[in-house]
Amino acid sequence: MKKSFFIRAGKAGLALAGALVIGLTIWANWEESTYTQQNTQTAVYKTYDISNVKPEQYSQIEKRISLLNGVTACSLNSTDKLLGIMFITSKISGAEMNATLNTVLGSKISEREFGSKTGGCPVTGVKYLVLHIRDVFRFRS
Amino acid sequence: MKKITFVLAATLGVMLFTATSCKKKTETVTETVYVDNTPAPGPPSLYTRLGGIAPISAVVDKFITNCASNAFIGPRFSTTASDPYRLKYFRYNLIDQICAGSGGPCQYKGQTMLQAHTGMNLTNAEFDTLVGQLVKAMTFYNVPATEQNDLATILLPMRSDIVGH
Repeated sequence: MKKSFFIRAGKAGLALAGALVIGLTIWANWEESTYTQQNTQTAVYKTYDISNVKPEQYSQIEKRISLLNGVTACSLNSTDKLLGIMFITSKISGAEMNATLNTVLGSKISEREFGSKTGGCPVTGVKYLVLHIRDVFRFRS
Repeated sequence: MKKITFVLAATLGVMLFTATSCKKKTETVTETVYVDNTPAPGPPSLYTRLGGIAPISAVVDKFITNCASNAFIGPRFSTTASDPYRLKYFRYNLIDQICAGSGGPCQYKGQTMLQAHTGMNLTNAEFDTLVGQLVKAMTFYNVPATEQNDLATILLPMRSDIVGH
């Protein structure tokens, strides 16, 4: 009696899980990607410490780094001696970026942790969790 | 019984097929008159003048890095910039907003400016700094003054929804 109950419960659980996967897959692929998503690539943003770089180089850094393959934007904060770079990870990895910066700037460049995060975007993590789940089940380009 | 049902169904199907496929041929005489109904070309949209999605994306990326590395407003962007997932959708929304606002083929699906900024208590000084970073980004990419002003005309009215909430 117990065995048949567990077997039935197991089957019901599997059916429920299957329905959930199918439902999530349909929901995630219901809408096509936006025009922007179809025409832009995902990029990441990282900050780098440029304390070892000579200040005379500062005026040229933004333009030089912006021209590197995979880099979409670069901004320098001379007061805090940091460089913010946005780059496409499918074209250049974080490790490759570090090595490239060392070569281009001729100094030891290290990634800097983000500073204080105060009063930022109030959009809750729940919204991004939903987007993340959608991306896991999405196969439509 | 089954055979009879099948034969009846097949017969009905054939009848339906022939009824719908047989058409009476009628001859009609038409005279083709060519009229040019194409509308007169208007001025190009701001989206076209900016160069399309690629230049807009480049300006947006430069704007984001300007803001995130700025000493005054940088902390406001740290949470978003340090999380690749948040950054991805923040970036998409910004590009969509400018693309759609300038007459491009995009559709902005993010929150309203009021919804997105309520709770942040942004000041006018922070908003002015933000605008300055956008101008810097456009200047970096040599966006002409006319297009910079046209874009500002679209974005500046958002101040009331962004500041002080």
